[in-house]
Amino acid sequence: MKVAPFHVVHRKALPGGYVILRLSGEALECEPGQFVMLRGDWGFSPLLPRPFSLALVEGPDLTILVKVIGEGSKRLAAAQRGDVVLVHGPLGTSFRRVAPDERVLMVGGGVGIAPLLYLAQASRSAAGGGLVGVYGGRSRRDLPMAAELAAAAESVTFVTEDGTAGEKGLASRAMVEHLARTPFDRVVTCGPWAMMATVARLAAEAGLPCEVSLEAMMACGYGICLGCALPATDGGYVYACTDGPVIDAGRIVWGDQPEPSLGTEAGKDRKKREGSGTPADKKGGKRT
Amino acid sequence: MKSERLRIGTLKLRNPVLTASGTCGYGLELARYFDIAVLGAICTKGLSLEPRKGNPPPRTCETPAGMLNSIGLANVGVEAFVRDKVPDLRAAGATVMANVLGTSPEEFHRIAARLDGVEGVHALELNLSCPNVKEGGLKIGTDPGGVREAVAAARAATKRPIVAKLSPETADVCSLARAAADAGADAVSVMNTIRGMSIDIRTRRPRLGNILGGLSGPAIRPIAVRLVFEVSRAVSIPVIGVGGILRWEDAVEMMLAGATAVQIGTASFVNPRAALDVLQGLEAWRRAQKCGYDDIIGAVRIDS
Repeated sequence: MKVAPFHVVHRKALPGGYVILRLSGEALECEPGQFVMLRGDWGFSPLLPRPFSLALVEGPDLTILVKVIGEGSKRLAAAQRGDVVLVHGPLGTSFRRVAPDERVLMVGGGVGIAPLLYLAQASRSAAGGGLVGVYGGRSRRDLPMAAELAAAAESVTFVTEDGTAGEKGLASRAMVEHLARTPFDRVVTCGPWAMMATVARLAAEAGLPCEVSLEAMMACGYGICLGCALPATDGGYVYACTDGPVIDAGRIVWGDQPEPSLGTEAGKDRKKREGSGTPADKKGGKRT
Repeated sequence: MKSERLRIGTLKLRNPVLTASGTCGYGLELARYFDIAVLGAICTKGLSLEPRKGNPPPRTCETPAGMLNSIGLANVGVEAFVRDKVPDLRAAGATVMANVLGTSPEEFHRIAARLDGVEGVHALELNLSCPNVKEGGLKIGTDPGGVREAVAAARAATKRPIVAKLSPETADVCSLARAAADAGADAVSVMNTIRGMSIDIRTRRPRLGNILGGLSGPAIRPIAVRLVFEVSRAVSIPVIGVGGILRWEDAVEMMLAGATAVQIGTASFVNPRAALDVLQGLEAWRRAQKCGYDDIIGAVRIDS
């Protein structure tokens, strides 16, 4: 494995500070849930690469969903067609494949939709089971790639806190309604810490296995800095980069958020924490 | 061109590029990216008597041209290292410098003794300077008496080459280096991270869970170059330069200042092949200059 130069072949800016980047380089063998460490070819400031979940992988093309938070994501989001982006990966664990007869409920929040979109797409193209989705955000513009998700999933319930798109409310309520209506075999989730904590609890109460895709501040992404520790139920820590990002929800202590969110008030909803970002006040996070 | 100076005690280095402790895991993590046997040495994560789980998160944050960390020396412990890591390191053909983390002279002695007979461990580096543990670490490492005791305790337990990794957080690093040399260290590495702090102005909270952390990266390189320059003139044992080296040019600078070898640290977070890239760049430059490493070490020109 190595750090390989990719080129931006497509860039689409969305409202709300989201940018979709398609990067093209040598084909990588990736699985849904894995992530890449990215930095531009910009010298040594910002210094560290930033982790991003893969939102789609098509041959030599990787699609990344960037939310502008700090200096690193700002620089990446500003990358133009033809610019070089250095890609280290794929890294970390992946979601279990979806069996053809398996019923999987995915619950995503904001930019956390990226790995779930990849899972739904991969399952569809591999003739696996269709995924039923709940996709929540604070507002209409905090549902990036909603159309892509709708196309890839069997069905999606959209939820916004302010009611500007889909149902008004929280993703967790929509999840409860789904669980009451239909039997599921598994839950997968990615989004703000508080949302994932609630999803993990609801899945446990329903007796369902739950895979979460973690985010944490990290320097290296491949297990050497030991920076991305999150409290584990065995009394130690799990490392988001190598034990995760996809991990059984039961291994995580879903107590207080272990670190302040880097999300803006508009969404504590980044997939991975952004190194140079500016953590928002904990109060900015909504219990879902 | 043969080098006479590329050695640490009885250990002859194949080249002057090493990895820095705490930035390459146990070396095996890098072996997925390149042949780690080509490096001068792999310097492992600090090894304590018992496993340590480390500090509460967040453990890292980026700062201008660098980063803070408060990992807290999370490691598998010396027994698990010997049992689980050393066989693979031997198979990989790596030159291994095991970093020893004691909180007292007795612990340095016990860990050094445990590693002494282990095939595949070629040298020990004593962590006399970690800013992220409450006990030991800086307390031992900022006082010449503490350094002398710790080095002597390890020295009594092993014939393997011993490197003392020094803290920059004292007014007189040279006196620490002299104490280490007097107590039998074969080399010193200069320097460990410098304590720093960063505060999120929105939450008014420290950005690290442990409040303070060690600053690394290019931001600290001029300080490391200065200390290598000073220490290499104060002691006759080799000085290993470490602090913010990202590129081969930085390694040349560190060697000109007086370093016999260099360690690559934070750069490996940015690029897993950073140590290899530095080595290849350094070798190419040296060949182009038609000089040996011995001609570079300490060869800074000071016009008087």
